[in-house]
Parts: sequence; structure tokens; C-alpha cells
Amino acid sequence: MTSSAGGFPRYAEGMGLWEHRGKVAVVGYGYSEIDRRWDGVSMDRTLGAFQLAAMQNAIEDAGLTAADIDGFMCSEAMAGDSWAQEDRGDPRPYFDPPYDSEDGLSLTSADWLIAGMAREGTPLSNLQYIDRNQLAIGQETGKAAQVVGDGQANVLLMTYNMGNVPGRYKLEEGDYSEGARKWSAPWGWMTSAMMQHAFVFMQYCTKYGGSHDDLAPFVLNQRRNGLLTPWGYYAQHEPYQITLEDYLTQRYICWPNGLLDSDRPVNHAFAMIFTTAERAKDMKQKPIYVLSHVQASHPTKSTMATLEDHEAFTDSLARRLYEGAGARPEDLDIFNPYDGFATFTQSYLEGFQWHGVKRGEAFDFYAGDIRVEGPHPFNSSGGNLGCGRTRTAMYTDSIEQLRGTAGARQVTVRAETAAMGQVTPGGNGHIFLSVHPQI
Amino acid sequence: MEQRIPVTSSEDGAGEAGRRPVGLISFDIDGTLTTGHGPGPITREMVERAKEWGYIIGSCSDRPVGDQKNMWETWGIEVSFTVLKHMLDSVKSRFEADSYVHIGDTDVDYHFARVSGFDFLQVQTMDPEPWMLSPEDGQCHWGPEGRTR
Ligand SMILES: [Mg+2]
Repeated sequence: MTSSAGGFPRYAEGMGLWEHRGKVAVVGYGYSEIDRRWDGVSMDRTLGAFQLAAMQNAIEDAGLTAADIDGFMCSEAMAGDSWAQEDRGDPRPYFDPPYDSEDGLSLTSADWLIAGMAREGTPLSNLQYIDRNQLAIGQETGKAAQVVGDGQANVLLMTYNMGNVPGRYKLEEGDYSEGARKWSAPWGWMTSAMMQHAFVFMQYCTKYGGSHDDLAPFVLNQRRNGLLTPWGYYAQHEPYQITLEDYLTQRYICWPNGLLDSDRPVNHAFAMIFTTAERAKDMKQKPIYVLSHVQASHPTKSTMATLEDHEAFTDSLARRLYEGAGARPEDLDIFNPYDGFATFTQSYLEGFQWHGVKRGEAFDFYAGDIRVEGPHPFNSSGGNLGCGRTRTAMYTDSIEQLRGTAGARQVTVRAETAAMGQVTPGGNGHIFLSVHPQI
Repeated sequence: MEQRIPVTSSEDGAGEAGRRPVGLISFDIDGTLTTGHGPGPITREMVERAKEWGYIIGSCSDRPVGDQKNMWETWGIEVSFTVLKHMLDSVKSRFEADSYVHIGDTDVDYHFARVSGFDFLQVQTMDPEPWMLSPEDGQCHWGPEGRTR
């Protein structure tokens, strides 16, 4: 078995068309139920149990059996916080196998998932390729497509999760932020991410005009789209629409980044199946072809990137993704960029020039009609803000829009191509999908 | 500017001079009340009893105000206030009371209680208040999830 893939990551400018453009297809997807947190009791609702369900659902959606899968890819990184929390002086006990360690609770290893599939009577008995080290789904989808294109796997099951256990989420710092982190993360991990994007956002407002209030139509519409996503967190557990007043009176976490600008951690898992265009021809689902994928990993010059950096990063990202697909901005129908914080999504919107939006024009665009029924159905998934911090709603929505199965979210404009990705402008992966093998 | 609402006279009709002390209790929702995501240990019965005993009660949560109101409607309890977490101080300026307590489950509750001049009770570790005790057996019956979170 191998864990390397040619042509990955795709960081460079001027790579031209992706060598496997239109020769790889997405033929299945699946997702689990969703909870705000695992309750610490229900063993059928752990992160691991959810992920096995997502994988089985993807296989079923593709009309395959587990034995048809010859490639497997996952991300073994801890999805949220640890279960044991020994570092907090408040250790919690593990359980009987297979929950006798963090594995299956706050992270899922490839070995745990593969054993779980066997335990449940759906063994992945023909794996020739296993890749366990993907950073996050943005990068993972690109690598999955590359692996299939390179011929290292014929039918690849790719899976990703985001977890949440009781307790404070990702409290990475102890009582003190030490070393360089005393400057970049004085209140812990998430403040560093928020401070970064709050800072760039303020530069954006200074350069182009506008204020935090101008994000309101975008954030409200994300929630609306999320409520139209039946499996999403808000649709399932808190089915109310937020109002403009809610937005304008929200609590700031790291000014001007507020509570409603920030995605809520959830317990959830997702899976996708990639195969060759040849194999996809006579499968259950209409193939959705991969036309391109690119990644980005930019070091910053200081503790913080600047607006100039983020604009350059996302300009490059869009240029490379379009180039790989042989596409132009006007060819992109469905666009689901990342929204972990609402304060950075405009970097992607403007970088990709979706629906003609140029630098500095996002607020005017948000103030227009961005509903799914309208002419500019931006982020039709509802993203993380609308569905919870799954990082995968962008993928389920894109597939559904291209299949024409998005239900109440189905856009009324053309839906033949889609681009999506995550996470932030400085580090991410994006993929370009199409119902046609080429534009 | 809203007028500060004075302490109401007690049930036995005693005037201001002889009135019983009136307490105000602010409840966080998620992780504090059994209706929260995740469910906390304080039950509907406890909250109802606090109200019956004359406490001014309401919620202070990061949930949008509309959702807080819906929650109380579902519980069938009429409350005096529903405010966002960072607006707890507005409760103190609206209601005159002898004591102000916020009950919650996180550091954020602690923070806003302190800066708003409220006493803070951490729901996971607090000693049961008298209104939490069952009149039947004098025990505190936390919600089904207990106080493990
Ligand atoms: Mg709470």
C-alpha cells in the first residue's frame, strides 16, 4: 500500500489544465446525523459511530458495496477537544472497546474506522490504498481526486469529521499563553484565528468602506440556507431564523467578530466516493466530474497576515483553480466558499470574481438578492454558519445542486459547475466540479 | 430610558417597610436548564417554584432573544426578562431587587455576572438553593442529565 500521490499538493502558478480533468468523478456521498456535542453516554452517537454511518451512507448512495472500495482516505487529526481532558485536571474515564481510548470519541484513525466497518458487517475487504494523514477536507478532496486520477485507487472512499465533546471547545492553552503565543493567542487558539480575520476585515472596511453591519445580509442568508438543509444543525436542533436585530446586537467575541459570525462546533461526519470517469459511466448516480483541484499554504511575514496578503492568496487560488479546470469566472455556477468566520468569506467571493464581484464589492453584493431562489445564490449550502461547523455542507450542497436534488435549496440559475473549499485564505484546498467532463 | 421597576409588595400585602426581601435570578439556558443544548440540571419545576416563591426570574443567554422567548413559552412560564448574555447589566438597571444572582455553566457566565454586579452560581458545583428542593421530600432532583458536564 502506498500513501503518496503524484501532483499533490498543487500549489504552483502556471500549471495549466489539471492532467486528470474530467477523468475522475464523484459518484457518492453520505453524512451522519448531527449533534451539538456527544452526550458522553450514547454509544450510537459518538463521532466514530457517526463516521461509520456516513461512510456506509456514501457507499449506498453510490450503489456500491464495501467490497467495491479499494482506496480509503481520512484525516486522523483531533476534530474538536479531547474526551479524557487529563490536561485539565478533570479526567474522564474511557469505555469498553472500541471506545477505550480517544479513538472513536474525539478523533477517528483509519485503523479504527476500518475495524469499525468490519465490526458492522460492511468490511472494506479490498483496500489497496490507505491514506490517513489528510489535514482537512479542503485538501483531502483534492488529494482523493488526484489519487484516483493517478491510478492508485479505482474506487476511493474519503471521509472527514468534525467533533465536539462536552466541555470547552479546543482550549489549547493552559492558564498561560507562553512564548510567541502570548502575542498571537493570548486567550487561546480560537482567539488567534479570530484576531487574524478581524484584523484583515478591519483593513478591508478601511480600504473599501463599510462596516461589520454590512455582513448582516450574508450571515442571515447563511442561516436561511442552513434552515433549508434538512440534516443541518440549525434545521435539526434550533430551527429559527436569526433577525437583523439579533445580528446587530450580538455579543462580540473578538471585535468586530461576533458570536453570529462564528461557526458553532458540532458532532458530525461526512464521506464521499471518487472513481474514474470510465467506471462512473454506468453507476447508480449521474457522475459529477472533477475538473480541477488546488491547494494553498502561505507562510505569513509576521504573526498576522494582512488584507494585501489575503487578496493575493485568494487571487492566486482562484486563478489556479480556474486554470486547472479550463474555466473562467462566468463558468462557475455554484460557489460554496468557506465561512468559519463570516469576516473572511468575501476574500474568496472577490478572488473568484463570482457573478462579477470585484475587490471591494462584496458588501454591495451581499445587500442584493443572494437567496437561493434569486439570481445570485451565493453559498447555497448555508456553510458552517447555517449548518454548524461540519466543514462539509459546502460539499453536500454542491453535489446536490449539480444532481438537481437540493430540494428547497435548489437554485433557479444554471447548476452545472461548482467550486468549494476550506479553510482560510492562508491555508486551504479547493475543488472544481462539473456535470460535464469539460467546460 | 426604561423606568426601573420597583420591588412589588409581598403576597401578604405588607408595605414597603415590612416587605420580604425580593431576589432576582437570571438563568443561563444551554448547559444550565434542562431545555438547553446540551441539557443542564435545572428543571422546569425548580424554575417555576422560584417564581412562585416571589423571585423575579428571566433568562440571560447567547441565544437570540426570540428563541429565549420561545423557550419560556414552551415551558409555559412567564418571565420578567430575556436578555443577551452581554446585556445582563440592563436587568439590574431595570429591576430593583435585594439580590441579583446569575446561574450559568461557563466562564462567560461568570464574567458577565461579575461585570454586571450579579452574584454568580456555577450550576455544576453550586449548593442547591432552597427553591430547588422538592416540597415532597426536601431533596434536590436535578434534571435527567445530572451535573456531569
Ligand atoms: Mg451555558
